Amino acid sequence: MSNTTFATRKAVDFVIVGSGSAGGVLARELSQAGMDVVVLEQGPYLRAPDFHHDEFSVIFQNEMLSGVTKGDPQTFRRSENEQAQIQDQPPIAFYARMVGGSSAHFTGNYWRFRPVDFKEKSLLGGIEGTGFTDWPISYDDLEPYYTKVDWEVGVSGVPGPNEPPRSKPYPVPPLPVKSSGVLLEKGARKLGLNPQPAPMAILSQPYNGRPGCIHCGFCIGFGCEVNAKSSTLATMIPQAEASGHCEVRPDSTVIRLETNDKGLVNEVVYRDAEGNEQAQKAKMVIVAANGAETPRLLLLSESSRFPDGLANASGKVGKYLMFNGHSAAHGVFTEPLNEYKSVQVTRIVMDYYNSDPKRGFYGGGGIDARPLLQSYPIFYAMAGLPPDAPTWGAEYKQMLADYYLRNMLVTGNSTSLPVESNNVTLDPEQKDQWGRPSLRITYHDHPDDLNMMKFLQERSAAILDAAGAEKIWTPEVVPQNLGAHLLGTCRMGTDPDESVINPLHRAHDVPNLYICDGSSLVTSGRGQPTMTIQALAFRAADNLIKSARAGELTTA
Amino acid sequence: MHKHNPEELDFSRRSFLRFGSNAAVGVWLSTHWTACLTAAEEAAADFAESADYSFLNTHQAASLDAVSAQILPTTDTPGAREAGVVNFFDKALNSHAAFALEPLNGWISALDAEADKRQSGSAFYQLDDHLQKEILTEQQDSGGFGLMRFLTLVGMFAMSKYGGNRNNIGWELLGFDHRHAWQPPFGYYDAQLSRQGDEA
Repeated sequence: MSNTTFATRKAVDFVIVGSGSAGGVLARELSQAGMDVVVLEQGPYLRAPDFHHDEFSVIFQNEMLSGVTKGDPQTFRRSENEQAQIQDQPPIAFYARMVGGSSAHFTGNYWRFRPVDFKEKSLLGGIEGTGFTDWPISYDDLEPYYTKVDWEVGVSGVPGPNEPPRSKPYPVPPLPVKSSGVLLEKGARKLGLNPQPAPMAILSQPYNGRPGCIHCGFCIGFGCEVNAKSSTLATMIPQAEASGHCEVRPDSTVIRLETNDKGLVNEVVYRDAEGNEQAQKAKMVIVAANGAETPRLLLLSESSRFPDGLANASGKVGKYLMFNGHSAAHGVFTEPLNEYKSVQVTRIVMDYYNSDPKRGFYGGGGIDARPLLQSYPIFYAMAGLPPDAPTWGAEYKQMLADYYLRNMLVTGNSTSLPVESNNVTLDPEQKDQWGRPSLRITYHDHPDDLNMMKFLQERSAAILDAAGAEKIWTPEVVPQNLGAHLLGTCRMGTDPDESVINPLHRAHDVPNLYICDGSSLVTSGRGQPTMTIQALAFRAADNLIKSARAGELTTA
Repeated sequence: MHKHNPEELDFSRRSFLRFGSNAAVGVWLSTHWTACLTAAEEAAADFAESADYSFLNTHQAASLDAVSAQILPTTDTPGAREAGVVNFFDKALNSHAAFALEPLNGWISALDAEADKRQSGSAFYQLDDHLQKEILTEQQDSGGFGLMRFLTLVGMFAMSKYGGNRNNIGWELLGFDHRHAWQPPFGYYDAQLSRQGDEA
């Protein structure tokens, strides 16, 4: 627990809802600047010694997602005309519930967005039936904060041929290449592409008081046992607590934001670990609960003054949900790769980043080599073999033994268009254990997004072929029903009718309410959003601190 | 012993029904993780190589043994039987996978009925290998088989503290070497590259 504690009845400078990628950064920056911060986190406070290599518990029992099966079901539908149904395991909004949020269980791909991502509509024109638009900020506005993420959070890498401009090198070199990286590089070069080392939020060597990666292989979906993964749990949160101005309250589920008669948010109501209702007074509130739970909380905080939900005069809260596109091509090589060892990704190919009208559809993305959950024994036995393989019996068993170490996966990571009918709403019938309406997600990938996934899957298969794979297969690209990237649902903009927050993350409608997480994104980028979420958080914090010192902040 | 509340049990059954007919990816057990950890501790405490099961009756144990040994048979390498997969079932069906007990019992009865048609008076586990395979081939798209396969794979490949994967037999089958830490080179191709680098 935090050494610093604050009374609930005394208004702290900031309550931050959520301790993940954005919330952790904001907590650290604001508390180090001397402001009093209470972080409310719905999940438990686990630490490195609590983590382990138990695939059954973590992957199949949702250990890191604690809560989804504890009375908080989500519902899902493909279109707004359908009745949403409970989404069983895994939950559709797939995020870790714990201090550190999903940064604790993520893979750590830290691609920056590029200048094009912020002004693509101006460059390409609008896309009918979508909310595709430019950001109100540019890459240049964000670059200093990308660099801050590199250095403050800890990113391993080396600039490659397809990189946006950077003001400083990476703080530590790239992680050692795996066999899958060597093969990706070989295949890509044969095709005239330009592979490069992957930027990863996992330390390749000791840095900032943390050790380098020990290559245990239990990375995706798992918590890091040595704090080499640069989660906010390992980086920002302990630094925030050390400031003496930050209290992290785990097992605290925020159920509502209260506003005063001036329309300012002044109290955050939550359930504590025992299920008792508590309320923390606050001068200002930052919601950083992720792109699914942030809009849910705002919609739950409706009142006579804010009948459609807090900060929702635009009607855009929860709209334009984007998951990013994902595809995979499988290959088997002659010799063992041993993909179960070390980090997920060591090489990437960024040659298809830009949208190309010649393809006939909008979209861009990156390709990398990573085993995903197939590095783990149970998951591999469940789903790792080609579709023409038997699923039981002597031959099946023999194929498991023959293929496991020689398996390689090449994944495509790509754009999602912002479509208004892809969204987060409150389920009208389903409730959680506290009686709150459940998260209802409506999602169907835009046809261009599906085409981009297929395109990258074909290119991925071509790379495997060029690298010498002896067998290749590609699962059919189908509309997604799971999102680990939860983006766009409280988008940033200058027009209060078309966006939820201004370029400084302040809600258009509530002058002391700030929103900063995946929901702030205007476009989806090319499949790896966390680096940008954290750069936005550093930028938001920087502006808040400057405004606070100038006495310009509105407080309840 | 962790008790499931009725809502969780319901939820688990829904999961089973939903995934039961789609055995491909992700039969996700939906008990919460504390139950799982409790079960693991119990399993670790009870772990014994004895064929005496604390929960399963003889008929259940023989049936689960027969089916799991068809899914991962003993060949020139050890299979489900040597890995103690039935021991895993004995722990799991009495704890974190309790929701699966009733569906599996029902499915085993269906297997026995099929066995009786082919060889009057025989249960599935009493049939010869050929007839067992014939019935399971007919059953391989059923929800019962999907659930059975999933739990067999968990019993074979999950940590041995859950009662199966005895002496890491499952992991050895794959070539998965569980260590706390690794150093490069990790595989053949990066080792080859570093050799080339050394020579150059």
